[in-house]
Amino acid sequence: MNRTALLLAIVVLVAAVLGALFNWGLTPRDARDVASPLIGRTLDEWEAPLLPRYQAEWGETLRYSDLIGRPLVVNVWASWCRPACYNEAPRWKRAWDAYQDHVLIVGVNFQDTPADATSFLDRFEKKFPSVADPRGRIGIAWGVFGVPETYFIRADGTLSHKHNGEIDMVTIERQIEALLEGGG
Amino acid sequence: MPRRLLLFTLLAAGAVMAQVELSPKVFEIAARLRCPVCISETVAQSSSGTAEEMRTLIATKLAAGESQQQIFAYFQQRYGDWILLDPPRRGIYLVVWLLPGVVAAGLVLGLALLVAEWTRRGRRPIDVDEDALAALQRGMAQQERP
Amino acid sequence: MCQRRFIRPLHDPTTVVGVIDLAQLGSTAVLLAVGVTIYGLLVGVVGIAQRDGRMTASSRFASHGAFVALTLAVAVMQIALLTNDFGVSYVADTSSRFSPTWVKVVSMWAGLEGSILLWAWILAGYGSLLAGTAPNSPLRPWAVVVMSGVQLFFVGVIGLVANPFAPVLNPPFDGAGPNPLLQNHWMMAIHPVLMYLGVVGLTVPFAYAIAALITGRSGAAWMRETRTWTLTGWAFLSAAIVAGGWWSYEVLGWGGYWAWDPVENLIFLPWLTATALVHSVQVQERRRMLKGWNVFLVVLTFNLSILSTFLIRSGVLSSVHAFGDGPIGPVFLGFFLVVTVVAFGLAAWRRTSLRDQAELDSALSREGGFLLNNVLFTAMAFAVLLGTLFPLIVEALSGDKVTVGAPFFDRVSVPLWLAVLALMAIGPLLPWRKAASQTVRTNLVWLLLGGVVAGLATYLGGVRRPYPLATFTLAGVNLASLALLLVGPVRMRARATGRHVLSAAVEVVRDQRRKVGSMIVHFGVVIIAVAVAASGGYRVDTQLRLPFGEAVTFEGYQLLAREPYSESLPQRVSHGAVIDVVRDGRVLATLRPRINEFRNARQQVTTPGVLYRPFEDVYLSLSQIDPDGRWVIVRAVRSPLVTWIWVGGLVLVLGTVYALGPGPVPRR
Repeated sequence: MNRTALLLAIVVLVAAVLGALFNWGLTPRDARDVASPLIGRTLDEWEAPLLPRYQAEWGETLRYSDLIGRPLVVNVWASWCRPACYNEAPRWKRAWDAYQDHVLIVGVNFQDTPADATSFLDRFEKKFPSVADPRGRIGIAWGVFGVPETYFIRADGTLSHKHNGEIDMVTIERQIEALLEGGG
Repeated sequence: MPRRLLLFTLLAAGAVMAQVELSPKVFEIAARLRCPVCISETVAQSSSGTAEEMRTLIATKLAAGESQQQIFAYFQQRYGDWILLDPPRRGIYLVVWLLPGVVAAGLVLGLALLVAEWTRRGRRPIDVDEDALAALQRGMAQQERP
Repeated sequence: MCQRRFIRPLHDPTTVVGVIDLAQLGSTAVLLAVGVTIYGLLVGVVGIAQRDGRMTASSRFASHGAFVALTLAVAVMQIALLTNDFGVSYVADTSSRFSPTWVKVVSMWAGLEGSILLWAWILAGYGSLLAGTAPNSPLRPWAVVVMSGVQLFFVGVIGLVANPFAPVLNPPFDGAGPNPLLQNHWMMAIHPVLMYLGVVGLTVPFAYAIAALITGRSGAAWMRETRTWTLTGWAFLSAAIVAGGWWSYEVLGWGGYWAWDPVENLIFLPWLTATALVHSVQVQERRRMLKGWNVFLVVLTFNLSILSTFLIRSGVLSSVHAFGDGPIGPVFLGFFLVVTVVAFGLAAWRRTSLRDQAELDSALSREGGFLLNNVLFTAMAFAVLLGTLFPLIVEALSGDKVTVGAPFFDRVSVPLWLAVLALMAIGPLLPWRKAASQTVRTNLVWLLLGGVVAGLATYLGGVRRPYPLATFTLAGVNLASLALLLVGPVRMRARATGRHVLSAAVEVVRDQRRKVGSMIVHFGVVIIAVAVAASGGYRVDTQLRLPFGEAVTFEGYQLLAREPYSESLPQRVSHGAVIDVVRDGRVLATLRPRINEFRNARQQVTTPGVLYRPFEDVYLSLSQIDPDGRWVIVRAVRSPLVTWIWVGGLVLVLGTVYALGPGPVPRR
C-alpha cells in the first residue's frame, strides 16, 4: 500500500512541476527580448545617409563616431513596425522636446523604403534626425533583433542600456536621467 | 577598439552589394547561426532581409580571410550566446550536453541488468514435487509391463 | 446568387423567418455534440456500474450521435466558408472571398478553432467506428467511456472556449484570409488531415489501456483488440510526418525538409514512443511479458500527443509552424495535467494487475531485440524532449535565453538511429526464445557480406563522411537481412509443396502478411535512412546571380534564366522568373520559382522551382528580382536522393496496409 502511495506522489509531483513550468511558459514573453552582450562596451562605427528631410540641417551622411562625446540615444524604428513604433513615436517627440539640450537622439530607419519612411515622418514630425539603414547592416553590427529597439549610450561611447521592444515614457526618462547622472 | 572598428559606407537604398554570389561555405556557416529576427530559423534557412544581409556579411568576411571561429565570435559578441545553435558548455547548460548520453547509457545498463535477471529466472529449474514424480514414474513403469 | 445574412444576438426578437443563420446552426450542432457526449459518458458509466447492457449499448449509440452532430457542424462550417459567410467569426478570421475554392475548403483547419473542430470530428469518427466495430468484451464499455471523456474535452473547448461559430455583429466585406504559407500548396489539404488521423487514432489504444487498468484485465486481450488501431494510427502519423517534410521542402524555400523545429520535434515524440510500442506489444503477445511497460508506453504516447498539441497551440514555444497563442492555452494545459495524473495514477494504483512473470531464455533472441529497440527509441524520445524543452526550462529558472538547435538533435539522434538500423537488420533474423549459435553465425556472415559490399561500393563511389558511410553500410546489411528473411521461408515452402521457387515466393508473400508487411516497412525505413544521409551530408547550397539570357553553371547543370514573369490572381500577385535547367545540352526542365504577395498579408512567400531527378534534386528559390529586369538572384540547392524520402514514406505506409490486410484463409 505504501508503495502505491509513493508512486502516486511521484506522479502528482511530476505533474505539478510540469504544470508550474508550462504555466510560467504561458505568461506573455517576448521571444526576442534577449539581453545584449554589448552593455558596457563600445558599439561599432558606421556612416549612413540621412533621410532626405534632415539633410538640409544635418548634412548628407552621419558618422557615428561624430556623435560620441555627449549622452546619446539611438532608436531603431521602421514604418512597417505596427503598432509598436507608432505607439512610441509621440513619446520620442516629447523626449526630444524635454531633453534636446542635454541628449542627442538619433533614429535609425531599419529595412525600410524612403517613401514609407517619409509618410511615417510626415505623420509624427520627428524633429531629431534619422539615418537610413535599408539593408539592416547597422542593425547587425549592433545586435538588433527587431524593431523597435533603443540604445542608451554614455558620453564615453559605452552602452548603458538597451531596450528591446516598445518603450514607455517612464523608461525613456529613467534611462536618460541615468545617462546624465553617470558622468554624462 | 580598432578590432571592432568597422567602417563602411552605405549608399542610398537600392545599391547593389558587392557579394551576391554565395558559396556553399557561406551557407554552412550560416546554418550554424540562428536568425535573430526570425522565430526559429537558422540564417541559412531564413529569407528575411536580416538573414540575407548576414549571409552577405559572412561572405565578405570569408573573402577577407576570416576563419569560421572568428565569424562566429563576431556575431556572438553582438547577439550573445543565443545566436549560436549550441548552448555554451558551462554551468546549467551542461545538463543538455550530458544528460542524453547519461540517460541512454543508464537505459542500456538497466536493460542489461533486467535481461540478466530475466534470463536467470528462465534458467531456474522447475520445482518438482518429488512424491508426485515418483508416483508418475511408478505408473509409467506399470504401464510398460506387458 | 445574392444572399443576405442577418446576424443578431440570440435574444433579438426581430429574427427574420426563413433566413438560415449559419453561426447559430453551427453553434447548435456543437452544443448538440456536447450534450450527446455527456449523455454517452454518463449512461456508459452507470451502465457499467449496474451491468446494464442496454445502457452501455445506449452509450455506444451516443458515440454515433456525436459523430453525426459534429459532421453537421463541419458541414455548416464548409458551407459558411464556401459561401463567404463572414458573419461566422472563424470564416471572418481565416477565409477570404478571393481564395480559390480548394483554399476555402482547407481554411477550415488553417486556423486554431477550426483545427480543433477537425480534431473533434475525427475523434468522433474514431469513437463511432470503435463503438460500431469493436468486438464485445469486458473492455469495450470502458473504452467507449474513455473515448467519450476525451471527446468531451475537445467539443467542450469548441463549444465553450474557442467557438468557431461565434457570430460577428458587423460582418466585414472580406475576411483576413489564411496564412500565406498555408494557401501556397496543395499539401495543406492532406498533411493536417493525415496528422490528425494519426494522432487521434492513437487515442483508441489509450482508451483500451485505461479500460484494461480500470477493469484489472491487463492481459493480452486489450493488445489484440487494439493492434489494428495502433498500427493504423502509427501509419497515418508516419505518413503525416513524411508529408509534412515534403510540404516544408516545397514551401519554405530553403531546400530542406526537417529543421528540428520545436513543432516538428513535438510531433516526432509520440511517433517515437508509438514505434517502440508496435514492437514491444509483440513481446506481450508471444511471451506475455512487458504488460506494465506496454501500458506505460500507450499512456505516454497519448500524453505526448496532448502535450504537443498544447505546446503548439499555446505559444509557449516559438516555431515557424506554430498556430499562435490564445485563450485555449491554459485549457489544454489543464487537460494535459489531468490526463497525466489520472492515467499514470491509475497505472500506479493498478500495478499489481500489470505484474507478470518476466523471463527470458536468452538475451540473443527476438525478445531481446525488441527490448533493445525500445531502449533506443526511449533514449531518443528523451533526448528530443529534453532538447525541445531545455530553453524553456533555462529561461524559467534563470531568465537567460539559450538556443538548442539542429546540431544538438543531430548529435543525439544520429548515433541512436544507426544503432536502430543495425538492430533492424539483426532483430527479425533472431528466433523467439533462443537463437542457435550456428544460425546466428551463418546469418552474421551474410549480413557482414552485405555490409562490406555496400560500404566498399559507396566508399569507392566517393563517400567519405562517416555518418553517410555508416548509413550506407548498414543499408547493405539490412538488404542482406531482408533477403535472408525471404529466402528461408520460400525455400522451405518450395521444398514442402514441391513447387517452383517463384510460386512458393508468391505463396509466402500472400500468406505471411504480417511478416512480409513488416519487411516492406523496414525496407521503407532503409530507403528513408539512405536518402536522409545523402541529402543531409552531401547537400550543396549556393546563391547565384542569373542574368537573363545568360547560362550560369551550377554543379554540372546550366541554369538559364529566360525571362521574368508575373501572375495576377484574385488572392495573390506573384513575380517570378522562367529558368531552364540544362544538362549536356538538353533542357531537363523549365522551372518557375516565384515570390508571392498575398492580399491582406505583408509577409512575402516564395514558391521554389524544383526539378525532381532520381539521384538528386535541383532546387531553385528566388531571392531577388532586379527592378530593371536584367537579372534574378536565386538560391540554388543540389540535394542528392531527396525524392527517395517521399518514396520511402510511401513504401512504409504500403507495408503497413499490407500487414493489416486480411490473412489467408486457413487450409484444412
